[in-house]
Amino acid sequence: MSDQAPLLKVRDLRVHFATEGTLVRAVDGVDFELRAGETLALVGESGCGKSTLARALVGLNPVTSGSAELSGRTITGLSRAAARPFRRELQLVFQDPYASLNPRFTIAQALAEPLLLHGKASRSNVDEKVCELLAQVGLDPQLRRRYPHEFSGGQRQRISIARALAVEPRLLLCDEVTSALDVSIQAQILELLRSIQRERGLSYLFITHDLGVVRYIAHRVAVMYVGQIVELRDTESLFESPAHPYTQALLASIPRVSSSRQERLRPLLAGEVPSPARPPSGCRFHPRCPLAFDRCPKEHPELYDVPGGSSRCFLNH
Amino acid sequence: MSAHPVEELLRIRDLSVTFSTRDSTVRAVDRVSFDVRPGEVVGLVGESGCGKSVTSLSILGLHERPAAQVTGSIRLAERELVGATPAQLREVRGNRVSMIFQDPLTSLNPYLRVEEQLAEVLDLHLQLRGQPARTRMLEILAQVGIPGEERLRAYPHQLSGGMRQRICIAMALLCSPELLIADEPTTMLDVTIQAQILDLLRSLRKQRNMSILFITHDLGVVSEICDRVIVMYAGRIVEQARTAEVLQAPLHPYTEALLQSTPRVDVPGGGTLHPIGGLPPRLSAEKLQECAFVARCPRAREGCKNGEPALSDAGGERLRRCIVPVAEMEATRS
Amino acid sequence: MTKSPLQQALQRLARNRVAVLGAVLLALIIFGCVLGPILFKLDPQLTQPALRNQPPSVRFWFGTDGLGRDLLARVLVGGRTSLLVGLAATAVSVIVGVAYGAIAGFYGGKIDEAMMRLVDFMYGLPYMFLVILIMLMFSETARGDMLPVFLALGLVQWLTMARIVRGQVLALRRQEFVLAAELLGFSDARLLLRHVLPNVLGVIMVYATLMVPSVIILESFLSFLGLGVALSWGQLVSDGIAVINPIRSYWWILLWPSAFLGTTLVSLNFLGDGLRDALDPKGKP
Repeated sequence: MSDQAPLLKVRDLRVHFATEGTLVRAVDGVDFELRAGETLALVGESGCGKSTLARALVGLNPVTSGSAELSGRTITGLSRAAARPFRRELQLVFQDPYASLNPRFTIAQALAEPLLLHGKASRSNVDEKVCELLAQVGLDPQLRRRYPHEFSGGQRQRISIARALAVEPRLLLCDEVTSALDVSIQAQILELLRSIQRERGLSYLFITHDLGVVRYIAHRVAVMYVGQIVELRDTESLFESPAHPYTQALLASIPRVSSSRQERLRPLLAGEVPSPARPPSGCRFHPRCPLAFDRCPKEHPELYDVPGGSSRCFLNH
Repeated sequence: MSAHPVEELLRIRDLSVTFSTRDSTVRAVDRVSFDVRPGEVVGLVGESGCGKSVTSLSILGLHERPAAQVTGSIRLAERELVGATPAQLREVRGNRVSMIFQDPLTSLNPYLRVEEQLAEVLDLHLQLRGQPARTRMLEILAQVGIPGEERLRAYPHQLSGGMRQRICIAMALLCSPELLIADEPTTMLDVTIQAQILDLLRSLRKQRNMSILFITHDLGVVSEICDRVIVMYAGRIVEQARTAEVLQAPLHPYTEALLQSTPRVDVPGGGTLHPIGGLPPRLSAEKLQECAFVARCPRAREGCKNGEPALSDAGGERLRRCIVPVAEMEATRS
Repeated sequence: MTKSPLQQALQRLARNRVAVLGAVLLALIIFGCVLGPILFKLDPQLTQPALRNQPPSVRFWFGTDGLGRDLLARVLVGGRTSLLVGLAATAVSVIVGVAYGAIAGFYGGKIDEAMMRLVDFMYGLPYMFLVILIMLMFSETARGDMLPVFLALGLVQWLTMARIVRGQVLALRRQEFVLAAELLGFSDARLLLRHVLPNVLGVIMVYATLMVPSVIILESFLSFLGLGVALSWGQLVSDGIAVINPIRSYWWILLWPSAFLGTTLVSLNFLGDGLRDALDPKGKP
């Protein structure tokens, strides 16, 4: 993108939960940067920690150690009162369109509230601003006096996005925002997000499990596995030549539309995804890795440079 | 049809399912007809509300009456299932036709151990108990990739999602059914686990010559496992053909649009996305006066509003419900 | 225009015949008790010894009691008391219970634990014992006065309401639309009052409606013990039972207050059940 300082800097972030006597290392040492106008995708399977990470960044989960800085100011480890000034800049859009809107508010009320509270509109022009917001997300402003239950899942996601945009954030965290939607509606929302990014120069931290969506919308990708980033690269580099064996397995596992009933390019990944409460020793992927060798169970790999990014595998060292 | 008529295993003709509530009537499935042959994997594809799940639930009579009215015919070999008595249906369920669902956690009884749930099925349909039952359980678990006895004693919540789905598949296979209905069985699983389960289903199908009716919204999954595909929209069938044909050269604008709105993993930049604008129509019980897809169709034209197109033969067992000429569609593929 | 969830619920309620029946009966009884004595110029206290123990007649629709007092007057005026006690005591328990439960549920953690321990402790105390104790404390100063009764009954009932509200608030607090509001920078007060509580309103209404009959019965019980308010249905039923004897049956003295009491209780229950069904998540998206 540009040479300016990164918008978001995350350093060695850890989020650990103690439940029933075990320590769940949901996020276990994550580093990355995000620049203005950029989309970074966070991908991974269950238990990888991507959602926990997102929620920790907005303060919904307590951070155990490490830090995150927004334009140089630390946003982690703050009390709820101290965090409030940052609320504007960092917004989160949730996955479930049916739970993210208050059923008792009309859409107009739901959008007016943040506009008024953050001084983006006055009582006299708030209705106008609400209409503008709705138009920006592709919804008919005439519908603003309706209640959430009268809208479809895709429309509700648009409303949630509009509400997040109302406070004019710099960074939008999208937590599986299209996973609950049909493919055709998902395409509408993805297009919407792209066009908003172009217009406003917004950054996205886009959490998803769908690699097709990643390839479409992200500039860079961070692949997470059991609480850590195992590969962080430019999107095209990742898809053209994935460096980490887990990424390779992930890409090979995706069912794709093709002309022949393809045989698998690589052997299937055996075994289950480990739980973050009991991460394997050394490299966390070694029990399932087809390329594992003697060093892997013993030592924990760092992130090593590869063209277009980095990868956490001794083979890339 | 074909020169050598193969006896169909499942024969559905003019199946319609209507749900009536005090406020409204919804026709979720409208005159759907198709066959499933022995050993074949047929995919039922569509987005939410298209009627695919409702169709599959009708086969085993799983709808609640009187809220749901099911008309038409569903024949399993020689036996008619629509209007069958509960006793007749119970005899078929789990025995000749099995079903697995999207969420393996809610498909299993949380209060019973795995072995208890498997034992129930064996007792009911095969009258197997004690040691013979246990042997069969271990056999079946090995076949679904769960070796060893430890898992038998486990409760569902102690197992991972992939494991649970394997148990559900095991339970479905205990009586060697002729047909397995799988309703989005891998949607809730991680990608790498999904690959394992699809592989498992493929090999089981081959070993047992079992038919599978596979319901999904994921065209990639369809490409990997289905022999034939039926595309549904607004409760009706809009296209039907062999998998490769439908996915490489779709003959209905909806199928085409669906393919074009799916981000591609194997194309740089994910490909160009062409979203389908608008929303699917609400389905009342009244006859449609126009094509169900016309409001959102990029190829809509004059004749589309003159009544609903019929399902027409496009040669070689292909069916399509569209008036746009095949030649035009083939010429203007983007 | 489009309907809010509350309006939809009221519509559903209107279609529930049993609930509507309850509401209608309740309305009739309330009107009767409030306006009847005024319209018909009835005097519950006027004793006419010459006319005592008269069965129902054209002059005295409900008959007279042992002191020649008009039973119709007594039942209607007594109804005012019973209903008022029911409503007021419920109001007290709702106000205290909702406030307490909402705070406990909203903040969770140690605050919630501490607050709920107190509730658990109070729950363990013998309920009637407490009420009687409170009544006796006040009886020195004002026997027959209504305020102590409200307080006594309300202060014990709030525990259930607190628990219910706390449970609802605890669950709602983690709902995504509340989290979204929190992320937009809204204050705690705003979150609780504008976002969480309105969604608990339905449950509060249901339980409040079902609480009124229990309070009325409790008041009646207090009357049996001689601790109640001077003129209420409970008192009248007590009187009615006192005159039961094998020789002469003064059935009307027991019947009318019992019928009114019973009908009110049943109607409130119908209404409460109807409200619960109407607000059921089946109707929500």
